[in-house]
Amino acid sequence: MPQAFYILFGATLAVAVSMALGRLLLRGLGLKFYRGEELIFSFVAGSACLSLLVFLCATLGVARKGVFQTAGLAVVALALWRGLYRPSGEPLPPLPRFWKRLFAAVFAVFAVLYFFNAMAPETSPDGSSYHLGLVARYLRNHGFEPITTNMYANLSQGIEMLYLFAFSIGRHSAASLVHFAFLVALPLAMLSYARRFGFGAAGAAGAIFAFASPVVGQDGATAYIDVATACLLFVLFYLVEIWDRERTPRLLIPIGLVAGFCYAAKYTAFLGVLYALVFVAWRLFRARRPLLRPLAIVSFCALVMIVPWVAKNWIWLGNPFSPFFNSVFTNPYVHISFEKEYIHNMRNYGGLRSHWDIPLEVTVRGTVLCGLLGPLFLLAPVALLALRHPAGRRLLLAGVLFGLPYLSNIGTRFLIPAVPFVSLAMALALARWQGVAAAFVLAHAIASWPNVLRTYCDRNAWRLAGIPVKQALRIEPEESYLNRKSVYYPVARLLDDVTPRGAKVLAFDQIPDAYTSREVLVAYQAAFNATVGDILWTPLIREYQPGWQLSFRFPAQPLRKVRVVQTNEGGPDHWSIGEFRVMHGRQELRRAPRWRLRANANPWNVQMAFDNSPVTRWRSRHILFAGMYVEVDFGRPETIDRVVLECARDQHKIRLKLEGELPSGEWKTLVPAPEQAELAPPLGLRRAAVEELKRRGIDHLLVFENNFGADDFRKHAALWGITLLGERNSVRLYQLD
Amino acid sequence: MLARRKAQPGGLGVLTVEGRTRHPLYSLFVILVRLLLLILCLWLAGCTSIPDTYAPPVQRKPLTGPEPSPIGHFVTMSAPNAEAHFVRDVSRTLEGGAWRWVFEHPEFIFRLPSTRHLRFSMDFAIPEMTFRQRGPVTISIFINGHLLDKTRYERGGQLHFEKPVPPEWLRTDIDNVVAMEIDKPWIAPEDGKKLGFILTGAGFIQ
Repeated sequence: MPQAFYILFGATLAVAVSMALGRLLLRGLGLKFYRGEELIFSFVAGSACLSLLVFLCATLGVARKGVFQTAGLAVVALALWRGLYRPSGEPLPPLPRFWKRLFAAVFAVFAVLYFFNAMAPETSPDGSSYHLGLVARYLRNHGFEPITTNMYANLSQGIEMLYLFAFSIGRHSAASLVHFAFLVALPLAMLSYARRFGFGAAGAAGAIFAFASPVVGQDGATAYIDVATACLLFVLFYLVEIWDRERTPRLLIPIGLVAGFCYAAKYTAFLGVLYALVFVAWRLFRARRPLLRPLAIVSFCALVMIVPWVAKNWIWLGNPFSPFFNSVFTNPYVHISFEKEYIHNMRNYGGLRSHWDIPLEVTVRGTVLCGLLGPLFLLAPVALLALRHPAGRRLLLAGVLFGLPYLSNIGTRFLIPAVPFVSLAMALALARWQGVAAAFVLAHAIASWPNVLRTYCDRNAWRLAGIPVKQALRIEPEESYLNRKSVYYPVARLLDDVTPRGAKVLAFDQIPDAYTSREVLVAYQAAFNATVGDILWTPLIREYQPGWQLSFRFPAQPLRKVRVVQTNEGGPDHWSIGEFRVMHGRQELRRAPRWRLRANANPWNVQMAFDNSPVTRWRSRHILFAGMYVEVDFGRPETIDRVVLECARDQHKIRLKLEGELPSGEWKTLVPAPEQAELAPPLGLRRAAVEELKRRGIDHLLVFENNFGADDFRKHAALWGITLLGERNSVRLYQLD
Repeated sequence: MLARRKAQPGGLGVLTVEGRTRHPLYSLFVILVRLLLLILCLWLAGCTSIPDTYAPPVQRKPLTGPEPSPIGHFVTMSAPNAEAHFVRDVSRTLEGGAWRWVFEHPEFIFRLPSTRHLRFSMDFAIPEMTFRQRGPVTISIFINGHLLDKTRYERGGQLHFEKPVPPEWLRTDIDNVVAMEIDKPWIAPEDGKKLGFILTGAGFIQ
């Protein structure tokens, strides 16, 4: 039970501090709300403040349990001393008794389901890997450090800052319970909004539509961030609606903070900032009131939340919006080609036969797109009937806007930000027939209950399976549950058991990082990782090996620089050079330290074409464009008569020419096209690849059974120069000798 | 609307707009200037010291000069040093810049840096039309006199052969001889030459 106590203490303290900070802010601004509203707004606005403070601690390197606990208790004590926890304000307009009871009953039942799931050991794929993996890393380091090998560390992590606070005390489940707090706050916010604006019954129905939705429950009961983001967006909408009615200028401060926190929570929620600014501007413009000052207040407050994340990326990665916009903010940490591939993959999930399958996948099946909203949402078009209602129009507008990021990622959970708005709009449309609306509420609740859900959704759908009371209370030990429930948890533990502290492990798939203190570099998660993954695959893929010789012969002459220029365009080929050799007669010119190497695509890896290693190569990491070049500046005129490239074969479309700079400074084309020849496949590639990995600081390799080359690593371990340290659930851990 | 600035004892001015006074912190101009400065600082901070040119890195192995021996562990038919590997029955004419005919008893020599974990590999083709005249073909491969494999090919096309070689058959101190036997050569109708098959590359790989 002590573990359960710490979990609850960690989560409760994070929520209590958020509420205290929120109350201090809202009451400090002299804002008046209805009683129920103040609770929600305090929590949400306060969580923005807490997130910012935790960011500050992590920046200063004081992210420690003691700091969080002491400062948190001090804030709570201050709030208690100032009487801020005492409710104030008028009660909200009453809810009809029938709806009050129906809402309370369904809400309570699902809240229990979600609570125990959130408190159970964290096993969600992303939660236990990068959301909490990074949080655990920050806590180990007592703050941020430049992380260039995990693109998820570059995303804004406003909600993870709250997790960091809770995690420092109660570990993984405390973080999940913080997300659970947002999950609970969301339907309460929806209901309060509806009561304030005069459609309480519809609000109760809409809140249950959203709250009972299986993907909302599943997501909100883990250390994901989607439900928290949805809650922030809805509260932002709610605050803006209140401002529109009351026009209290000071309300623009929490509006700006919450809008900025939307961005800090998740990049795709930047639309919240846009919504707040455009809405405020539009309403003021229509009322012929001054625009600049209100917009400046919203912008400034939003920037307070946004700038820390932008600055962190800009300073450390050279790209304020990493891992996106790498074409604009070119940097060595995320390949442009990866970004394009990633965006493409997020729009086209493997296993989805047609985009016409999306409606059924996201509502009923739930496997391919990871989660289901529930069959009720097949009726989502009913929400259009709400267009007759002014609130319905605004809800639908916000729903469409906040649902737009779904076009960039068709996973079901990317619909969650739109769910509260669509749910309320559906309920508004159905509210004319109370019996029908109530029947839908009950049917949706029943259909979303785990035991019923399993009868119609896909067997592997992402969903909650039951109420894990024993696991939540740690009556069943956490270790036992995780070993049973998480396939790769034992792998994470293996890493801690058999590798030394500070070990760097290369893997081709993600594991639950949150349960290991070792650094796991997943091949697709950063440019560096992709490069070492490429090196490791070179011995296994003939097309990657330097088997193609391209020679540019010309009359011997002194040249200051030579440049191989690629003149073709288009994909999918990338240009690569294994070795770039400069010859005079039969002798290769020694690569002198004064030489300067340059490439105009992926310039940071150009040295890989000049290292004499058969397993490394410079790759453009960009589809072909005319004018790509790799250049050598000799630093002084050198007499040469040949440039020889040793290349991989996986670039059929390239067209090359050689240019040279004469001692006079004039550039001229030396050879319009190279002679071609085959090269013998080099020996010893496996060992050379492992040596390159070691040179880059990687000392272990994690190979999943289905990884490319898994058999080769097992059969030819001696040839690679690797030793098997252990195996868990068909995942093998090798040490690089 | 004009704003007038009055002096204040504390040094900060007060903006007077339509008779109302405002602290300069609330002035939009001041906010914008500060924002601009902040953005400028961030911009400069974002100019991380990533160089755009690089010196040559540490070299992983000795530079390739004139090779001590033109004979290697593998030969591609288009390689400039290919003929150094031929002992007999390999055409001296490079066809299509990539392949050569071998005759009835082609032989090659290879030099190996080590003998462990090696496989003999060969990329070759048997033209489909030759089957009409000679039927299925059997190719035997000998490594230093040991029969590595004897394979019967019922159909033509692009083919690949690969098989591990026992290390005790191989030597590092002298040339390794790879000999092949084609049971039924194809008689070229134009000049009556006895042709075996088309070879693009052969040798030892890991």
